[in-house]
Amino acid sequence: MTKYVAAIDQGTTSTRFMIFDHGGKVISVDQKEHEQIYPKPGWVEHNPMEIWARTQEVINGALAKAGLSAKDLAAVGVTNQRETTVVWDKATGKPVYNAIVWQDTRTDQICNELAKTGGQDRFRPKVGLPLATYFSGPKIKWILDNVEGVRAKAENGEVLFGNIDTWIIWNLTGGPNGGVHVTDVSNASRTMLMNLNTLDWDDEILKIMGVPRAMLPAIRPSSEVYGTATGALAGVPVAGDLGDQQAALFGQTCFSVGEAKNTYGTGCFMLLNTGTKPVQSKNGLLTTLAYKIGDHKAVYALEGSIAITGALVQWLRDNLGLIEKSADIEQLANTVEDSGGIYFVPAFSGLFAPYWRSDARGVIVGLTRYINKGHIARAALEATAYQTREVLDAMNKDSGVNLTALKVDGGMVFNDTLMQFQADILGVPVIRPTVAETTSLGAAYAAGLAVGFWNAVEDLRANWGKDHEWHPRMDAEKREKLYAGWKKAVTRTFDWVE
Amino acid sequence: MTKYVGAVDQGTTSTRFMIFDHGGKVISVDQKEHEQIYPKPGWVEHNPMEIWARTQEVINGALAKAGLSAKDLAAVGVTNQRETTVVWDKATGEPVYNAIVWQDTRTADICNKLAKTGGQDRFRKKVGLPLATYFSGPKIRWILDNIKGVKARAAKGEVLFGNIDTWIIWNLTGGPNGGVHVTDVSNASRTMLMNLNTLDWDDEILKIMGVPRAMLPAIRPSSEVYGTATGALAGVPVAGDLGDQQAALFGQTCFSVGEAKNTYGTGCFMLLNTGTKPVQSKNGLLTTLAYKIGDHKAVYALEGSIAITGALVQWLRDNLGLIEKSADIEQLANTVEDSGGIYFVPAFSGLFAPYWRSDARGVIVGLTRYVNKGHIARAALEATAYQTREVLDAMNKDSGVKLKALKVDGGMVFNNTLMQFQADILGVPVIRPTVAETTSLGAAYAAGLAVGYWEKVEDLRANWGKDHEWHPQMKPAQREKLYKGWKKAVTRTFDWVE
Repeated sequence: MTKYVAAIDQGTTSTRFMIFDHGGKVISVDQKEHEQIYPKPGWVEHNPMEIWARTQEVINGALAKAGLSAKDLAAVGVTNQRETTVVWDKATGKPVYNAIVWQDTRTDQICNELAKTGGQDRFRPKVGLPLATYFSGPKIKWILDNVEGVRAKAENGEVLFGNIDTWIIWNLTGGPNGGVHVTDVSNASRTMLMNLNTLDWDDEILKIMGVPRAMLPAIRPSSEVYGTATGALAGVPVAGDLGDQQAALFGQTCFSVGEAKNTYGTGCFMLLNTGTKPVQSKNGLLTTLAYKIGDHKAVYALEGSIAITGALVQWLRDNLGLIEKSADIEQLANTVEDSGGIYFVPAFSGLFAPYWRSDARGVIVGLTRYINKGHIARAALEATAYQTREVLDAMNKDSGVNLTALKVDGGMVFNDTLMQFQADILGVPVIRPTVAETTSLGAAYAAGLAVGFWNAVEDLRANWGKDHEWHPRMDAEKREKLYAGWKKAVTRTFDWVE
Repeated sequence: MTKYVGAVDQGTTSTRFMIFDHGGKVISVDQKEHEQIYPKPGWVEHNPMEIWARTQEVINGALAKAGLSAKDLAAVGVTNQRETTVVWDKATGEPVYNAIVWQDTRTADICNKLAKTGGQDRFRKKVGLPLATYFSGPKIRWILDNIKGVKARAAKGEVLFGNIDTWIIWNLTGGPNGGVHVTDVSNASRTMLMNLNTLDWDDEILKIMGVPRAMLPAIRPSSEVYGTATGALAGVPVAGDLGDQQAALFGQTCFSVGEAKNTYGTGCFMLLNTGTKPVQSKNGLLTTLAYKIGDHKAVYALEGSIAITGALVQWLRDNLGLIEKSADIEQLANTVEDSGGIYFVPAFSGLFAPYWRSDARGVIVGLTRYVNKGHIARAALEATAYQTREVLDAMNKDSGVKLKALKVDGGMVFNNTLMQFQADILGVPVIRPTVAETTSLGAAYAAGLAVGYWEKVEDLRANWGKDHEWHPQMKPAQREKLYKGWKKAVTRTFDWVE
């Protein structure tokens, strides 16, 4: 009998392979970073071949650490950085261009052009998304427009498009030798090309964007056997696929309408389960697919996407050298009492929810001679909390119900200073579950459900437990004063790119 | 026979004593830094006792290095950080409070209140200055209002006010034991209390500001024997007093109408000699006293004051730790091609010329993930050049004549990257003289002239020579595009403090 289920978690900065037991406990993990490629200001790329190489390495690494092999795994699921766009040659498996990462803003002009007719929200009723550089459709168009010979091959189905889930699954199931070309509803809902109601590619939008259907993957449920793995996982059913944020929602077992989570990673992503019908946002949130389990009805979510939170800490580490490792940010921030009056709005690639301003760029405001690197570290942490507050406010307005507590996960939830400030600025408790690796866990759950390793989603709830809770301690007047300063700082990011 | 002239140069971050020969050549120099005290955001103080101690140390140090003593000096001049305000007890020589430094912004409320009647320029006609935290008058007022018992003692002349020149000269000539309580026209013109035409304290303004005349020093020419030194310089005539920027103008031998210099220190200060009549500015410059030699007519200048230029480099060094020593900024800036699209507007204590906005605070704008500390270093250097461009534009408009070249001095003029960018952004050549220590030299000239060591100012011109010249290499379209971005960035500093 196979005792375990595994998940590939291909994130923006690193790739992990995690093996879980039936109780949702982590049995083994291996992780490797990959290169961030910044060819120009605003451009962010990954090398898809490196990502696939790292994926194979961490699969082998995690199996070896636990002394396990493919036969010990009932299924494998995939979760991934979303929207990041790969186009590759079907016959050779070679990418025609580097992966264009979700944070990349090169499609700014494409988006502006498309918005000239009908505005930024012209596709929103169909796809739930505003026109923004964030999403895959315009990135595909950029590759088709700028890489010679690719458009003709795309029309013949000789080159394939995929988000990173599709790229991994295609390679995992054989690549040029019979790899399956699929995605799931949660990933497809981030392309701007999938109709929220039909769960199929939308021909009208495909035509407007100039994206040939022949290059697109089949849209499948999030929990279903897509194919069988080759290589180190030979014989294991590939049976789960969820975008990383939807995977975290799944891993946090937010299966009921009104349940929400916020994940603190490179960016921050708050998702609220809204049930089996799409809810349109009036406050700058996204309508997105949460998941679809086999033949069950698809479940939708409202999402507040924040582009840069943890990435700001990495930026202080890698680009300014203010800290040696990311975790040091807390110690540096605690060398000061507060931010000294500064705000750091990390609109590095524009602002996502609730603003959707691609013309915005990052600012540090309120600088005086008094400010030191401790204040900058603190302002960087606070930026995460303020941005989350903005999204929660929008969530409350769209849903008409005030969230009474926020479930959190991701790497930054072990930063006590941040989590306390988060509770302070939100004015509601913040709760961290025992298993903080909710993204990988969600993908494992999806895969395990498809092969009967778990029977029903309700069974998974028993695996969830509370680890820590932070309560607001700041008085309301101070909270609103600080927040008013943040709002003012945000306006100074607008209208920078002309 | 005495061969040399000495100068005390008491600056914002350090104190120097320099000894010059008849040709203006540096014979000996000693320098010591003093502590920058930041009790709150926006507050900057110095300890006057430390400044006096450092002054004595560098006098001894420079004499010892050259094996000289007081009898080798024909005269000593004083030049100083301007506007910085000391109030001390006449009987004991103890300051009643730390020196409030020119960059300190605690008097913003006082200035705003004073501006309610008649606006920011209500005193400009009389004193040539807008109401701003920069100047001494409101700083005196703050001390009188906030330090218990000082107001009553000031009215009786038991406590004395002085800028740093006055504090140094008083101590140098005996302190509580007969020290002379004087200032010169150039320093007095920075208090907001001296009438530009009468060269006397203005009774109407004194009344409005609530500053008793009894605490104020006598206003004297810049070149005249004020008294005789005690201590290590015992017997040497104290015979020159010029604010540091006016001293630099003097040291650059800008004795003719239309001659100008720009000094790159903690801030940047461009002064244009306008002759024996004050010229009012319509473009945000100051009308100030340049110098007065003995019984000759006073000479006036237009001044463009920039609060933070070199101080930004120190901030990157001391507060962010991006560099180890100030000179390393050039190497760090040269790790990148350009600023990566960012601008750093160092409005740390508001903006001085040509804006005079005390509500402004520093910003870094245009941040993306691509930006690294090299870009920040470069943007910091570029900020100096852009601010100088703004002042030069104002100077050209006020004078109606375009400067054809800019004479520069100060520590940053050895930064080749900055000076080339300065020429590029100005579109006119930038010229560095052979003696870059123009501030100390100016004070020495003033002292030497008073005792006949030099006969007349024309004799000093022979000491001036060109060391290096930078020519603009940037295309006008690129220059104007970059400058436009700077102007946009500047607007984002406005209206921060409420």
